[in-house]
Amino acid sequence: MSTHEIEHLATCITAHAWNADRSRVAICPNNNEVHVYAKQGTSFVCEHILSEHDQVVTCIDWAPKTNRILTSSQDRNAYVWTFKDGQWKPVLVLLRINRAATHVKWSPQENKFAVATGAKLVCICFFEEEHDWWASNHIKKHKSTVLKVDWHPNNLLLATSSSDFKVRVFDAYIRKADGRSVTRPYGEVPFGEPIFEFNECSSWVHALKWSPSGNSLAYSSHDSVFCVADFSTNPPTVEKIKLRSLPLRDLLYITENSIVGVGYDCNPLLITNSGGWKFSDEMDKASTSGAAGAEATSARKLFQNKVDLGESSKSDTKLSTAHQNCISFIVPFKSVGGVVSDFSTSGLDGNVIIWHVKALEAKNKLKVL
Amino acid sequence: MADEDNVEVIAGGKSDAEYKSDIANRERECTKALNMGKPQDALPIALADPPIYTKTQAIKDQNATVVLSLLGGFKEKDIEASVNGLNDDQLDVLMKYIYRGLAAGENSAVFLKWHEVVLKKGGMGTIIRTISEKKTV
Repeated sequence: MSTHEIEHLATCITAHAWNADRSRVAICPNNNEVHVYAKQGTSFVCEHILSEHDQVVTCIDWAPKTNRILTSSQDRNAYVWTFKDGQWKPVLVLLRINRAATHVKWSPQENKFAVATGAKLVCICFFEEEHDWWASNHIKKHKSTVLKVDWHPNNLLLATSSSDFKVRVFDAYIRKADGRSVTRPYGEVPFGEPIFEFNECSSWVHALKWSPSGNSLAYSSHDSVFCVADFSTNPPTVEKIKLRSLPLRDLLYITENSIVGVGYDCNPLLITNSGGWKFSDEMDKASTSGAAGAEATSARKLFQNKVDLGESSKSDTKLSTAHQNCISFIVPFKSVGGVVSDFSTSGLDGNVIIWHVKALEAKNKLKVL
Repeated sequence: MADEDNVEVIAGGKSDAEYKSDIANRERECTKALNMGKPQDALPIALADPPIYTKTQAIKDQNATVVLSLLGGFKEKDIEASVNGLNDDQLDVLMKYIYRGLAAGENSAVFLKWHEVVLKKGGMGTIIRTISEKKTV
């Protein structure tokens, strides 16, 4: 069994999202459109083009239960798309922001969603029956652009990562959406007040994810620092590791104790926890030897050839990894009970790659815990 | 992205006077080690507690002079062994000073040698942290 399947769908992909049965994928080819591809046989065919946004679409999230697509864009808008009569119909969300929307995420129960923005705030959006639109409440308290948001599995806590170098955890309880009968984990916290603030990072915090159980929160920043906060204690205890590699842009828990990080190395990294989090291995090893540092050598070769032979761009600059540019997005492809057996990544090279964890483990002698 | 300059640097560290006396102490130790011909003993001492929280450029300069003169005093064969004895935090501080030394533009050959050895030990991460952190030396 091969370790991965590559689909080249565009020149550059900013985000991708799968539907519930993984027969369709929505991607943004780095412009104002969202393309929905359907799998037909072995290839993907473009089925719909959603073009309501005016500027680059920054993020896509496809709700599995309610089959709604959520998109955010630099044009300061977010749309909820529903499929009716063979067409995707957009509904505008009232975000009330004056900067780009950077990231979106449906809550696990899909009754609300969060939008991260460049206006130094997060919008928690919920449906207002009486007006038939999506309204939003603002969580401020950020000192710079919010880059990512992620929902705790309990549908109430929201973690945000920001370019003010901090990670914050909020209680995003909305009475109109959640009702009165829910138990809030940290009591009656006022809306918009951070419950916890983490400042281990000294650069933009690009990525964060809750573990499947919600007991830990992983985040990573542009100074190649990777942290995991353990919420079994109050206040949470944080483990920080400094990576050897280039910074990570996105994270995914494939089990409670194993995380895949993707980023500027173009190579998914495996980070595992056995009595302490540690960098385990690169997941995409070239079958030929000398994978490590291959990029550096090929770049060096390019300049060496220029100097020695006066050649320009004759040498091979193809990377030994499957992705040929920064990986910016990772989502689970197949998962059962929090254990991800396949995941997919997309990046600035326009590839969507589906990885098979078992095959990767066998081929590269990895240990997923 | 908006308002990067408003991002506050986390308060901490010491007062300028404390930094000054600490640096003077370190300078004495480093000179001693250099005179004994054992600069590798002084390296961890020189890299301890860099003045990243102060806003006074003179203090940063003072500490940089201590560290950079120490780095310059190494024999090339000793560099690798000394770097291998450092932990991750010390490597990051060392890389920051190497870049500072390279920026000054004097004695670059020796700093390039240091750069090569630290990169091998600490990976690209050390360079990324040198570039991206606001806690400058």
